[in-house]
Amino acid sequence: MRILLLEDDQDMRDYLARGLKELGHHVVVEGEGKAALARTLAEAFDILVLDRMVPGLDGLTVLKLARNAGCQSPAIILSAMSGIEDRVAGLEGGADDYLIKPFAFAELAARLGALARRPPPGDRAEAQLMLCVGGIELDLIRRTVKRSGRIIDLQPREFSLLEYLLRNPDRLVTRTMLLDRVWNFGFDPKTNIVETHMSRLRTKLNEGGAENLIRTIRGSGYMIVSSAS
Amino acid sequence: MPRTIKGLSILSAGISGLVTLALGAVAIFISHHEIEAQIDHRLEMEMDALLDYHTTNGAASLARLVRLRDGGATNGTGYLADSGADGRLMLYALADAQGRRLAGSLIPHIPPTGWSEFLPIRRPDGSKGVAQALSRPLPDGGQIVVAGDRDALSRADDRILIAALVGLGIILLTGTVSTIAFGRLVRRRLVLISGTAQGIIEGDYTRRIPIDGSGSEFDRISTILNRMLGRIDMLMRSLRQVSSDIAHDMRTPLGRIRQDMEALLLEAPDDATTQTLERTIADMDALLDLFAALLGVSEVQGLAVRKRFVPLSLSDILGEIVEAYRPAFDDEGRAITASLTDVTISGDAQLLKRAVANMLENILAHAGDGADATIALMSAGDEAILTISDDGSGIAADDRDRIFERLVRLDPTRSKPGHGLGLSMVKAIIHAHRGTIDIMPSDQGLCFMIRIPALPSKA
Repeated sequence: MRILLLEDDQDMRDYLARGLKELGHHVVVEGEGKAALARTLAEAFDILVLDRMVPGLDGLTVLKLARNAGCQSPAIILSAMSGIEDRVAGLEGGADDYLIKPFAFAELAARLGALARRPPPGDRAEAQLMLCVGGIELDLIRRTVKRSGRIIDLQPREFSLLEYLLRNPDRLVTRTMLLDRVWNFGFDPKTNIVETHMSRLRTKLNEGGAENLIRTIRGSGYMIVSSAS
Repeated sequence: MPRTIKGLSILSAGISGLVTLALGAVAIFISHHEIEAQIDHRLEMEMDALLDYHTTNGAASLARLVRLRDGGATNGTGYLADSGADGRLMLYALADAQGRRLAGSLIPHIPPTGWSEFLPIRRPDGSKGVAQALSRPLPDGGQIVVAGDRDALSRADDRILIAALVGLGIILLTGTVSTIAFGRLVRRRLVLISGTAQGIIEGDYTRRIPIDGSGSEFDRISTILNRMLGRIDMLMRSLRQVSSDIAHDMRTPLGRIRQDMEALLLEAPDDATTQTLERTIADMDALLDLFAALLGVSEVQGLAVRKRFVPLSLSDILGEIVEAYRPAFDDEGRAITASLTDVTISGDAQLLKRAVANMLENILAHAGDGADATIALMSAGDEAILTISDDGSGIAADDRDRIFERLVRLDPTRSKPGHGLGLSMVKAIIHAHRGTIDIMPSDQGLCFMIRIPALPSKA
């Protein structure tokens, strides 16, 4: 993927650029807002990664101007500005995700992965109605789940959890991503809500000795694998 | 002295009324005496004229004249004879030396010589009245009486009394009306001022007292108060700005340290180094958590969050939270029960979820093994009443006031995870929703009661 990275802090920029390149992405770095905006308007990027407090134009203004100019690339804002108001302003300014500094690199990589998977805005009508991964079939219209023909009865939240995993097969999905997308929790509960629901989901999916497709990635999150290895 | 505007107004109206009554009384007194003096004066003039007539024309002529003037008993028509109704009625009586009445029948009894104040009379139209009279002896031994009807006097008294009473009525009426109007004006302005003050107390530092441009005393004091509020607002904002600047400035280097640790972790030569680095990262995250929580509480207390409030179903939110936490309770063999009535409030779903989640986590962490949680939502009039309780170990009565304070942890060893900001956050969130949270007396465990103003239901 072609990623635009706007970040003014040299160390952070190098660290992120190196990490993203290691994941096989093509990274264009900018340390200043005006240059980043010019770059965004001139070239096509698959994802924009924008720090908020940078010299020139701040990251949020860059995003707003780019959106006004018709740029539809998914964007994630990285910022130390962690207030509720800040996050709302970021998302309302056109960001698809908002990650508060400091963060684990794995978290950023996972969120970029999830953003890249989203269908472009124009294709929403043709969005998938059936998600199938590793023998698990999830019917979004009938709200039913089958595994190898066996009907699995899920609670609504377990269904949403599975849906989110199936939309991101073979990718790391972090705990905070699940809290955000599945529970709509904008905060981090001390109780491991995700883990308790995940263990119930696993039990239901694996009933009858079926193979466990949901892997726990220690310290990071979960991944549903399309084929067990 | 009364200290309220109402009391002062009543006092001033009362004094005005009393002054009016006193002025009326003085007017009656003066006019009464003036009219009385005038009647006396006329009686004396009339008496002098009659005595002159007697000296000139003799007793028989006087008797004839008296009969003429005293029109009621004779056919004579004096200029005063039929003027009784307007108070100019003069009455006469003439007696000889033996006391026999020679003329004048309107005075039933001949009074003794000199002045008589309240002499009963009979008017020509037959009505009875009271007159004042002057009686003089005649040189031939007889007696002549001239009387003036006091009717005019009492009618003048009556009219002045009526005028005074009407004046009193007008003063009381205008006094009452102006008191009410004045009171309303003052109250309206004071309500604006106190409403603004209440808003400020609740944390809305953007509130200002409306100025109506009248240049009144209220406008002037409001302008000064608004300037004061502007200053407080500016100070509060710069305080918050400092906090958020510090947050940002601290997060950046902490973030860099965390990122370096992460990079080192990938190249860690041995398990011991890995564990140390992992522990350091965890500590760093805890530090950042505490910082974020402190800023979070301040942010909610700043009440800017109210801008995003929308009508939402509190029961739906509670349902989601209960559903999210049920597996965690189940896993410990504990129960969480909810009975939820549908209530709509104005609020922020994220914040409300966070508040309830914090309380449930407190129950999970502190209520003790096997303690169950109960959530009940009721609609009572224009309020949503939410109780969240557990049947666990509860807390000491002395601690009840403290638990909402920041960084207070009842566990003296501070061995359980947490930073003591949970209930501060809950209270700030409930407060932002214009609600209250209290600890209710309960036999066992802990019971919180939360009241939040409800929106009228659509049904």
